[in-house]
Amino acid sequence: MTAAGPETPQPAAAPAPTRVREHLANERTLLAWVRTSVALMGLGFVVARFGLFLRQLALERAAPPEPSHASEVIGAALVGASVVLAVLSTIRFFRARTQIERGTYEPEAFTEVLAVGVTVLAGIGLLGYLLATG
Amino acid sequence: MRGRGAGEGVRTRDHLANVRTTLAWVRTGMILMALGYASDKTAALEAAGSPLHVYGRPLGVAAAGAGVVVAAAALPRFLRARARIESARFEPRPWADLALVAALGLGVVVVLILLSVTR
Repeated sequence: MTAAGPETPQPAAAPAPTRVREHLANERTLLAWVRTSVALMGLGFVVARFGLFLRQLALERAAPPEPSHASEVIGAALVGASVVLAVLSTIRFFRARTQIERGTYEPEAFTEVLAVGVTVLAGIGLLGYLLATG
Repeated sequence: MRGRGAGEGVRTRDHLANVRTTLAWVRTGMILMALGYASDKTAALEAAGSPLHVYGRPLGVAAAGAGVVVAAAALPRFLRARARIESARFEPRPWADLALVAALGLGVVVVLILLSVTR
């Protein structure tokens, strides 16, 4: 290697050797958040629509309909929560991006705790609903 | 020096990998919940007396319950790994993972047997 000429200026401060991999890891993390959000959306959609489908089926068979709208409520809540998670994780992505550039990454837990909390609460609600309906 | 003695960049990537692992656990829980819900709800539509009609509901409730457990287990795992990354002494704990995979494998076998004897 020859000395750097004017065509290849050196950055003022040499970036960390892992800088590129850190940014790519951050990007993979955002994509994992998006996948999780989409999965939650899908779960909510299935729960809401399937409840509707069963009500319709019960009407056609002249059977007593599903007793409650719990399916639709749980499903809509899940879709709403998935949107919130997508927004929060995108904000987090840009914050982490700045922190990586500065070499001052700080781990957070709020969005992760929220994601687990929402999923567990939805699961408990779903379980209660499954056990309560015939 | 932070980050397993290899610097700030490794620490950052460790934390991001931990977040992705947690999300993978949460997604696994969600899939189990959806599977359980579908199993429970389709059981009622099957002909009375068919195996799916008989076992679909308990299997579905069990799968949804397992999904709740899996999703809930993701949080302590996340926080513990997070603290360990900060203290630069991560110790993998494969037992919970192995137990989950074994339980899922068993569940798949049960479902396959059930489907093969249906109708």
